[in-house]
Amino acid sequence: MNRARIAAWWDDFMFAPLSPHRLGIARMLYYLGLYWAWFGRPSVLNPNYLSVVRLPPEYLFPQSVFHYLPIATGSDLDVLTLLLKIVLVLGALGFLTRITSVLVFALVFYLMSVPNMYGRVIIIHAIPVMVTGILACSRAGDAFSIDRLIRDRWSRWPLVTGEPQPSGHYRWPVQVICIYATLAFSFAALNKLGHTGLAWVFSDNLSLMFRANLQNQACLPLGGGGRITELANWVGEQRWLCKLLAGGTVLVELSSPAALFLRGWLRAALVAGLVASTVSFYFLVGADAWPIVCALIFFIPWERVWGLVARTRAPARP
Amino acid sequence: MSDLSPRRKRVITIALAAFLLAHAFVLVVGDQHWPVMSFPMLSFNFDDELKCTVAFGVPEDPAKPEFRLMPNQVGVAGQTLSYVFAKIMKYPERNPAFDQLAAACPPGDDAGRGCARAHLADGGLEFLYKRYEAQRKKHPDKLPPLRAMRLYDMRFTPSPHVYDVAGKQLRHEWSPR
Repeated sequence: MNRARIAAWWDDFMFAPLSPHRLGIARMLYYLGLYWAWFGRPSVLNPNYLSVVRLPPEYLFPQSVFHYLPIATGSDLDVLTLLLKIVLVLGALGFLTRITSVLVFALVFYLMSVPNMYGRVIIIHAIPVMVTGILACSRAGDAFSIDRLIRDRWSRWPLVTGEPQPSGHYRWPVQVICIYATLAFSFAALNKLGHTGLAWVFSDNLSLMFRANLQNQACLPLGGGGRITELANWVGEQRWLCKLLAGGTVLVELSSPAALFLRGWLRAALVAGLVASTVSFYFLVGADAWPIVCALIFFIPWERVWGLVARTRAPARP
Repeated sequence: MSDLSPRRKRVITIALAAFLLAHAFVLVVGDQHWPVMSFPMLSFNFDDELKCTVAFGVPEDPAKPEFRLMPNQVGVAGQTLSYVFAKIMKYPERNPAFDQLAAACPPGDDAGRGCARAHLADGGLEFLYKRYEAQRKKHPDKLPPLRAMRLYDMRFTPSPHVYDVAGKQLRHEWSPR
């Protein structure tokens, strides 16, 4: 009986029919967000770090499939980066989405992985690799896409469903991405508590991280000073504020899986807390937050937002 | 009620379970297997003693002190600079060139490990030196000419000045010929 209940709950949680709008809008915003995060400002891809600084073979410490995959030359990396720009735009617009989303994944996987084979592994680069991989397996182009517009006018247009109805096909990718995002946050909290315990919150840990700069950074993984050094240093001087921020970060990260089950304002508040902690670390410590923030787009019930927009745009009844 | 076939639901559920188990395994074991990560970023206590391998430049002028090479002086990202030499010193065998370098080394107790490590460190420091020289041509007044590059294992302790050097041990030195 319990097993049947769990199966029914799982079926509902993962596969209950959902409007294609949520996945379609989230796909569009996610790809646009990645485009901005990587190409709208200086980043590891803008310009491609490894084509600017051709690191020597002595620095190469390959992992996983990169024991077998070749490292592209600088000019090839530039071509792949340009290709990623193009397919991100095409994926956001939803043109040949089944193909472009696979290409986005392949290029993100390669271009985000290669810098990690030299020296430090930037862990958060794994998040866009996984999320684009999940999108590549989904039917994310069935709504809010050029594919949809063409298919509505020309029924032979391939790779997109005829008349999309609410379906489990549109729910499971959203749920898997949300599960992965909460896993990343909750594992980050478990690591903090596992490696450091409550000292991560109650020691001068965060204060030191904020007060560090290039001259006194010691072995801090991100150098020091964050993106706004004066602000980071000022916050670092307020020890009580650092402990409050550290406690809030661990609490929000630990409770992130609840965002999968909560509804309404509670869910919105929790997701806003995750965004706030990620963005404040971006400014105060320097960790690149935007690809993670982009993944949180999938928590927003876009089908309801779209419903509201559609209702307000509908002509008033006589 | 879902419209997916039971077979498809089973495949998705099994794939998700494998995905989550792989991440849980990495979390428990602590070894990262790109791109399956346990997200340990910034989880260590920076209020403890910190240890790392750091590259220094030794000026030609003996009156000038050696100095830690900064990312802007060599045009290499800090995240590369901070970690790559630790990897070379800690596990040179993970570099693809290791077997070739070790085979060319004289036989020893450590099967060429120390000698291959020294070759890797030489190559790594030579690269930094060339990058430094390129920067020095642009800013000759700011960057002094160097006679050597050194790698130190360094220890730092928290202090009122954020961090103070608690120990410094020379690991490797390379000089331009």
